[in-house]
Amino acid sequence: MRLSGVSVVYSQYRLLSSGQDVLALRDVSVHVRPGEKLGVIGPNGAGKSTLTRVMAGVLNPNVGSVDSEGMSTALLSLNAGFDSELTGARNIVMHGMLSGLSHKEAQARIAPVTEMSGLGDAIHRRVSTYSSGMRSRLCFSTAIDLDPDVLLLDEVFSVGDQEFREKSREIMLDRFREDKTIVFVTHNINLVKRICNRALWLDGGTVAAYGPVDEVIEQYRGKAGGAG
Amino acid sequence: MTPVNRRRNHLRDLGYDNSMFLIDGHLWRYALYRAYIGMIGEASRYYLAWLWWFLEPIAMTGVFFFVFTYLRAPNAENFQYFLIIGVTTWLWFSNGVSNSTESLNVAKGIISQMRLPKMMFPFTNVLSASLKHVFVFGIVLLVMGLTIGPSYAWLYLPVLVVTQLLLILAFACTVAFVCCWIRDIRFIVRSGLTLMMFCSGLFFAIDTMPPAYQSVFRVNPMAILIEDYRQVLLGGTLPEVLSSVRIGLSSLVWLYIMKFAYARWDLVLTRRVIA
Repeated sequence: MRLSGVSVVYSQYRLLSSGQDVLALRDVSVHVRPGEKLGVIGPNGAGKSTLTRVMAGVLNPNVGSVDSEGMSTALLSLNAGFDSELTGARNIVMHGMLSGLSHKEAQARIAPVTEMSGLGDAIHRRVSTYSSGMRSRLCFSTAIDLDPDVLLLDEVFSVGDQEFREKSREIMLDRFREDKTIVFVTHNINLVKRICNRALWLDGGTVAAYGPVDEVIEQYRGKAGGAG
Repeated sequence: MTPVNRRRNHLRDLGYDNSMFLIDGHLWRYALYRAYIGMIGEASRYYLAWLWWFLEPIAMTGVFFFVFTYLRAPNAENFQYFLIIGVTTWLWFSNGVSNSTESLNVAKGIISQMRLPKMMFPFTNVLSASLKHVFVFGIVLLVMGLTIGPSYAWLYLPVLVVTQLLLILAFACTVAFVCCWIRDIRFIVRSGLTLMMFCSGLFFAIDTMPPAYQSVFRVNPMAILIEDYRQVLLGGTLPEVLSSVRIGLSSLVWLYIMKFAYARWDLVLTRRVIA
């Protein structure tokens, strides 16, 4: 997947109130190769989520181009896409159907996703009753179950209890062994260092550093004072 | 093709809806499932759960019945049926349209994650309102069948139902699209629906109006449909076929224009929803 000179602007124009356009990404160029694990780091508001949306084909850039090179993508972020008024199980079915499965096939995904998430009977409770850790489990497990060519994960490891974090990292490492292409947004520098081969540091919508993970993290820690 | 491969291909193809149908056949099934579980979810939020599907039209009919029976003489035979036909038909339209005004903004979570044909969101809202209407209208037909008896004219009902469904979809897709661009429009939609309700002949037969006003009222497609429903169910005679066909065909043509607009500005809509 190749992004060339991508810029994204969100229009905030209102007739009777002041509002400025927000430049979320400015001249970003990234090439994600098959099997690569790219960690995207940067402060809040740096444009990390916008970048994953552009990669997923959800947003088109105002300037620049995106070539998916025939790869399918699935974007999962912590709070997006789940209907809080529905049970976890029904949300799994809905995601499955939106991903092209028949209702019957999507129903059959409930058991494996439940097992992977470790949610047990809570899968039949409304998502609004879930803790942020439980939401994270559901989100991550649903994303893994989609099995796209490129998995885009936006901050799904930032919450959750220790047990889940360990489990999700194990699953992530399994994916690495499977030679999957993964782009994930996180504030956890240690995790990026441990499992990524490349990193992208975004700051104010622009690329502050991009390249081998050790070099980027060194620059990030040095210039931004990022803690891991 | 295995489910996993099918999912991969689908994920790659998302957003490319070249089918001749308004939305892809698979997404129709999704919209129906979403409407169904949405109804279940909505019902679970209230103490009286699904009973509200019936209580809402009954309460509205009761209010109008009280006002028009006790505060002025009723102007139609079988006034209670006259009212309930109008009220249930109107509620299907108004719920379908008003619930769709915010349908794209409400779906912000999934829209910011997947590229999907956005027409399916108002479709889902309309299908949800339609499923409720099936229950309520079924009860109305049952009660009328047992009390005043059915007639052969009732066979024309499917034509009216399909015509109304197309009309609701056309309005719903339009307001969802426009409100996504300019959210303020939803206030105008609310006022517009109230105006349409008062000009739909809900409380009185349009025939009883001065002739000069009748043609003005009949500009409102819901006024024509409500009149046709009453003619079929209460009068036992067939309405003018051309009027239903005209409404149905115009709605269908408008829906294809909206399909083009949704496809043309799909990514712009996403940006409006996310920003």
